[in-house]
Parts: sequence; structure tokens; C-alpha cells
Amino acid sequence: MTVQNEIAVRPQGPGFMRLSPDGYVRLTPEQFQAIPLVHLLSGLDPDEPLPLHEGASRTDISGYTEWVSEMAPVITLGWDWRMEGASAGQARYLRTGLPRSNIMLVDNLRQDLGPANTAKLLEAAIDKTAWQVAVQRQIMDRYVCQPVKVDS
Amino acid sequence: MQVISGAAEVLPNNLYTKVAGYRHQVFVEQLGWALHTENGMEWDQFDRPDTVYVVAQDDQGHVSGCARLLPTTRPYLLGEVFPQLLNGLVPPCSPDVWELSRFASVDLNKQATTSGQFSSSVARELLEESIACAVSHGAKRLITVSPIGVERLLSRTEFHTHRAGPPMIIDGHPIFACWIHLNGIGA
Repeated sequence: MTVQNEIAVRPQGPGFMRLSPDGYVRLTPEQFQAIPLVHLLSGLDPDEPLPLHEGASRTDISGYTEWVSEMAPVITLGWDWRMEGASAGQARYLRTGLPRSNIMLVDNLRQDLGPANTAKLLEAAIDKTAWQVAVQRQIMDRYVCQPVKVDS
Repeated sequence: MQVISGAAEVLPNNLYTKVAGYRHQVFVEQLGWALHTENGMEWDQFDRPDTVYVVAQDDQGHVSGCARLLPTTRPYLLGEVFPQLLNGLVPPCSPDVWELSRFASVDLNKQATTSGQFSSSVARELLEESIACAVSHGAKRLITVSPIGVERLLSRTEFHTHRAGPPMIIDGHPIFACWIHLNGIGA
């Protein structure tokens, strides 16, 4: 899995992916599972300052994470998370709410499964992955491991 | 709270000027967006005579929320500035599609309890009024350029909304184009 901050849009990817005029990328659940998603960005919600100093703990840290495919038409998938048990490096990241995307899953007859069913299937797919690793790494890089300026 | 909508010239009591000042306070001063400003007011090239504004006011007449509606048959923010948010689709140009932008619902008189772009008590009603206004102008779909907060707001409503494409990252924060389908609303 790679981390990137820009999307390199390449010419048409797998032939089964179609960008519809309504903005949805339509594909079956099986086809979706075959597409690797890369971590684009994760961040903390505003007014949730930061991190943890040694010995301190917070249980109300939340944020978002964004993932994309690398072939055109680009699939975008994001969701919110909250941190639980954030002390002594034992933080757990839990997905909250429904995912947000440009995906409409379809059945084998190319009929829409609908927004609600699509969201449920995307949730299940997300929960099978180890997305928390990438999120934790980026949160640490963005918010914790900042260079310290020392006055000379 | 009351909500008024219309072009700048039909808004009463110098309300458009108050909206421009409100937008400055929210988008420039609070959110730090790099926008055109003059004398404490914010506007851009899409604030035109045909632009439609939706304005929420509290009981004292202070602006507590605003939104901007533009027809896609004339230049609009997404089409002119952020077409890459559409994932390769040509920006819409249709009387059925309007753009919703500059959406904010912060009650600046209650800053002790609110921050950012939204007060939840105002946001939902302002969104519903904005959609109703768009429908009254013939819109069947809305497109927005939104930070994640607006997208979250949309996803919590009963409206059929989804992303139009992957986000752009600006100053470390994602912005998205989102579709709002209005079929059946106001029918």
C-alpha cells in the first residue's frame, strides 16, 4: 500500500468501470473488491488539537480518511473515524458513520443496488482492511512529528 | 430565524452588503480562505446580478447563514475554477443543474459555542431552504464545491447526495464536488 498526496490519473483503466453522466462510477461488488485503493489523506477534525503527550490520554479525537484508486475513472472513498483508548501508544481507530464515495454498486445485470445497499457493502469492505495503519502513520506525521524550532 | 432568498437587488434593507460582510467574517477571518476582499466584505466574479442568495437572519436581523446559487448555464465556480473535481466529466451546462456555494451557517453572535462553518441548528434549515429555492428556479440537481464539513452535513440529510470525483487537497484539507439529486422535491 502506498501513500500519496496527488492523484495520477491515467488513461482508462479496467473496461468494466464506467463513469456515468450522473457522476457515479458503476461496478459490481466483486469488481470493486479487485481494485486496489491507496491512502490519499487523513486528518483530524478541527478544534481537536493534538496529540498526546506522554502520560496524557484523550478519548474524543476524531477525523477523516480518504482513499482513491489509481486508474481512471478514479474511485474516491472516504469515511470518518474516532480514536479510542488513546494512551501509551494503544490507540484504536474506529470507523464512524457511513462511507462517502462516488461509487454505485450494481448487480450482474448492471442494475443499481442503490445508495443504502452500496454504503453497507462498502462499509463491510472497509472493515475487512487494515486502514488504521495508514491513518495512524499519517496522523503521527502530520500532527505529532513536527520539527521543533530552536532560537539561536 | 427567517430565511430570505433572491438576487442582490431584491434583497431588502441593504442585506446583500451584510451578507458580504458575514462571508468575510466566516470564510476569510475564521476559515482563512484566500478570497478577494475589500473593506471587510467578500465577493468574487460569480457574485453577479443573476446570482441568487439564500440568507438566514436571527430575530435581531443579524445574518446567521448564507448560501449562493448559480445557474450552470453561465460561468460558475466549479466550471471555471475547479473542473478537475468532476473526475473527467465535462462541467454541466444545463438549466436543470444549479451550483450551491458559499454555504455557511455560523451564528456569529453565539461564537462561544460555535466555530468553523456551521451551527447545526441553522445549517439544516438553511440547506432545505436553499434546495427549495433552487427547485423553484427549475433545478433538478445541485452541484457543490465543498469542504468535508459540508459533505458530512449533506450525508446526514435525507437528500440523495454523492461525490462527483476525488478531492483536491488545498492547504492540507480536502475539497469535493458533490451532487445533490432533487428529483421529486417540490413536485
